[in-house]
Amino acid sequence: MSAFLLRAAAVLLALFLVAPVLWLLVLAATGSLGKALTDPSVVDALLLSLLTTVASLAMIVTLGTPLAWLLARREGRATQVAAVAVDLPMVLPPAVAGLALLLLFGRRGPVGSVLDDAGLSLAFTTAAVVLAQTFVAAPFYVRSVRTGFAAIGREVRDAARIDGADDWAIFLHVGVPLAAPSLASGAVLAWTRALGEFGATIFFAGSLPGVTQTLPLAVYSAFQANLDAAIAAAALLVVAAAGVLAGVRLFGWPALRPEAA
Amino acid sequence: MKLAAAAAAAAVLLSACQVVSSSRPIRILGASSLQDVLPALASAYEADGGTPIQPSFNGSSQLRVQIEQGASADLFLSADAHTVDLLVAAGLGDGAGAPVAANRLALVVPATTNEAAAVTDWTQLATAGVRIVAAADEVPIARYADRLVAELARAGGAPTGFADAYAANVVSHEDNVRAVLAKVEIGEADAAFVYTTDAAVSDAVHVLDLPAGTGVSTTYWGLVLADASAAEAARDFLTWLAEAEAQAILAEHGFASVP
Repeated sequence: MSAFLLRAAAVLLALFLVAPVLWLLVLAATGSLGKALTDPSVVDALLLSLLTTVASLAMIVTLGTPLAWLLARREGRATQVAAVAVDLPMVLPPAVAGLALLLLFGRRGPVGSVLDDAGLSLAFTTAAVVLAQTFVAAPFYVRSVRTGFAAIGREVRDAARIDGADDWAIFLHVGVPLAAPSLASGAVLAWTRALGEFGATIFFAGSLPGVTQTLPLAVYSAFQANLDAAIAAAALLVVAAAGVLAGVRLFGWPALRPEAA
Repeated sequence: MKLAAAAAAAAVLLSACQVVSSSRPIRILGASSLQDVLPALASAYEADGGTPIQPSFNGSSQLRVQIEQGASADLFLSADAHTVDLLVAAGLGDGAGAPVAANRLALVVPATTNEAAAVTDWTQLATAGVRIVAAADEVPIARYADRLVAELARAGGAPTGFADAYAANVVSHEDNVRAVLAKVEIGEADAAFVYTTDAAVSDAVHVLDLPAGTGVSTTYWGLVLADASAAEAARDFLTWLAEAEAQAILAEHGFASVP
């Protein structure tokens, strides 16, 4: 009896998690998917999503790898506090992230007003989309890479130093290659999070086709006008997310295996 | 067909979730611009011995989609007739809709104390670089605003190519009129069209004058929904809205009576 209950509970939740997505794909496949996928609003949103997530990922990897390196090597209370602070956007509700970004970088915010005076206005621009994505996705990358760097033993770094390597050389030629799997899995996680970003974008960047309306925003917007287009855009996002999960399984990046998480 | 089945399934689930109760409130899905007046109307109606009202607000187009997808409610208060017509045509209305109140459009800009306001005159809506926030095409305020822009384009003093220049300055399509208003309030948008009643509830925006002879008047429509569980009470509330007490509350909040 208890074995049955155990199984029933498991099956119930598994079904609940799978069914909505499956039904969405069925609707996409049986509906006018082909026509919806060539809908200009879906195509624009797809291109914009690719462009912005690649830009966000470039920013995250360029700036996030050094940050993860510092956080992994230093010890002490300040570093721990910094590590938690950097993780915070990961657990913040996206709407909170969007509001916070808007209040700081918006026209009347302390940073935004300075930029505005210099003729740089962020709100409602594609740059705002990239900032929103970077804000919510970077912690996933930094966290993963930090774990990878932390796993490199001090003796490895000391050996490199004795051989004459400076900090930069140790980072580039010892740290990065040894933590490569963590870098890769962190980048994948960050990319999917950036691709799915919705709340911070709609608050901070607004929604205009071709400029700030990424795929998730297009799903939301098309829902009012053209349900087929909404389903098509949603199916694209499901396929992208599922592709990433399948890719991670195939390549077996260690940092994404459950025991390393 | 699959969609219809999905909607039906959702409707069954939703109605199954409802708590059966004898003093069930009237569940109203209301246009965003009714956010301030509807609670006032509800308390007056309840004080008159009417059924309690449970409102929720969004853009009329969002609410229309929610109803189409099986959201369970008794009464829909839309910012225009078109959205109600769509529901009636889909067989989701209990009878036809009825007009309940009227409103007008206002051009608002951020209430800055400094001289830096980008828009001080309606003709500047066509100036390149001005950031206008509009609503998505399906939202009633967007259609009303389009009509007003077309009128302004014909008005004396309008720059040539006014309507196109206006459209080119739109930087975001929001879900509902209150989201549009918020973007002006925080100064992210330089200008936007909202309802005069929205402008009236905000200290953070200024209303700019429009040329004489222009202006768009709008009508709110009420529709008792086909799957209403408190249809009788909803109809009673609609009737009460036309009475003097309700009309006085509406007027207090800046709404006009139906012409």
